[in-house]
Amino acid sequence: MLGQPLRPGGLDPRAKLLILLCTSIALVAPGDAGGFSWSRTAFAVVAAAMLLGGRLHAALAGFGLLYTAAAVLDASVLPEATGIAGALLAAGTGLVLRVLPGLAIAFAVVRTTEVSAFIAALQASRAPKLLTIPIAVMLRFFPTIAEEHAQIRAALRLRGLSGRGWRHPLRALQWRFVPLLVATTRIGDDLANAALCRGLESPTPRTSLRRVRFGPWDLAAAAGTLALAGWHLAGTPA
Amino acid sequence: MTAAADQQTARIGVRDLITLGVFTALYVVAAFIPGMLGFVPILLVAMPFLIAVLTGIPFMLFATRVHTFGLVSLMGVFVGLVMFLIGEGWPSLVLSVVFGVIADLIMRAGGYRSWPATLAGFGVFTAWSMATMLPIWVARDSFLANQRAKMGDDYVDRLAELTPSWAFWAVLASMVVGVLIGGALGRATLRKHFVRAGIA
Repeated sequence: MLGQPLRPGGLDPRAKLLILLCTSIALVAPGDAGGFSWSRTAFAVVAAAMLLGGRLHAALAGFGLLYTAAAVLDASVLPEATGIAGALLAAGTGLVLRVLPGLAIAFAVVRTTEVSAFIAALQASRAPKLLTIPIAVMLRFFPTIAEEHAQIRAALRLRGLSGRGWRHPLRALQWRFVPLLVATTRIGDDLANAALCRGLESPTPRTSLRRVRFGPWDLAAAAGTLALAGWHLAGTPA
Repeated sequence: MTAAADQQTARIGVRDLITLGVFTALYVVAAFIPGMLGFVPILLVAMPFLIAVLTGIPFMLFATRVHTFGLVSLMGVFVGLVMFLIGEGWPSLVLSVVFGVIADLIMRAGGYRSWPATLAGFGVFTAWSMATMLPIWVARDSFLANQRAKMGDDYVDRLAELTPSWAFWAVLASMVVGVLIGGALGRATLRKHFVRAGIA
């Protein structure tokens, strides 16, 4: 990741993807009626552990606050709330309780996975280039888009154009999108040129300095999350 | 782009795959905010319209760089995967893959050049955004029973009242309007900015 120090002691990228997949599938399973459950809380703990392991302390604090607030609201206010207001509140807390852990894990995966380690891991599992390259590029691009967008926002504010989007929504859309797309397509072209220079088009398998191994810790983490998903799904009616 | 990339190529190269990754990331970011509406009851009917309007510009710029069959289909696969991972559920994944392939076929029929074919492809591609609300109509009885257990009678009666079967066509129509706005916006933006900047 661009200019980002490598986080030490990470899991294998495949283990991280498996954890993300289990969480996404389990937490948003249809038929989950909401309300408190230990298994759902356990997924929140997994998400917190991933953020902590990646030393993403600000994100961890935000996640903890939002999740706790939603859980408290869900347990205290919600049973009494009725009607449309109650339904909207339920939607809000449900969104946080069911979707936020997955998003937090996705964020942790994106921020802690070095792209070359990711490619090496997928290649070791014999995934075709058709899958590895676009996924690797996407992983690398989400932070880039966020960075570029922050700069565009700063530029809009400097010109006194921020916050005026409501009057001209379509124009405001263009103010944001045009510079963002110009910048990102340029970066994308550079990335393609760099990748070709480094022989990504060569049919022989890539070698990587980064050794990836699906070790016992990875196995334990992946199996643990898988078991957790099974436990959670068993507890919810289909 | 260079002249070499303008001709229709038979195989998907590494450069195509990198372009695909870049534009899928942009598409997902554009679809993310309205996508979150999909979790909010009632507001979710606005989701297809908003997604269509917001993704018009990135999709149309992507379309100028597609010359090979398979890229739009793969974009459908990746958009579906990301939406699935952030919790939109498996109907989004299935529809996104299926509509991605159909959109690809339509756009190929136009040689990845013709504006009507590209616009139609964009419209079909966007149809994945209807997935989250499909259960309201397709499996209405079990969906409403499920919601009744979760949200209470008050809410479900109101929801049933707000979503008669014609509402499906209304949401679809709003999506088509969104596609026309997003597509026109994308095309206008391409002409006004990207061609001039030499990146379309």
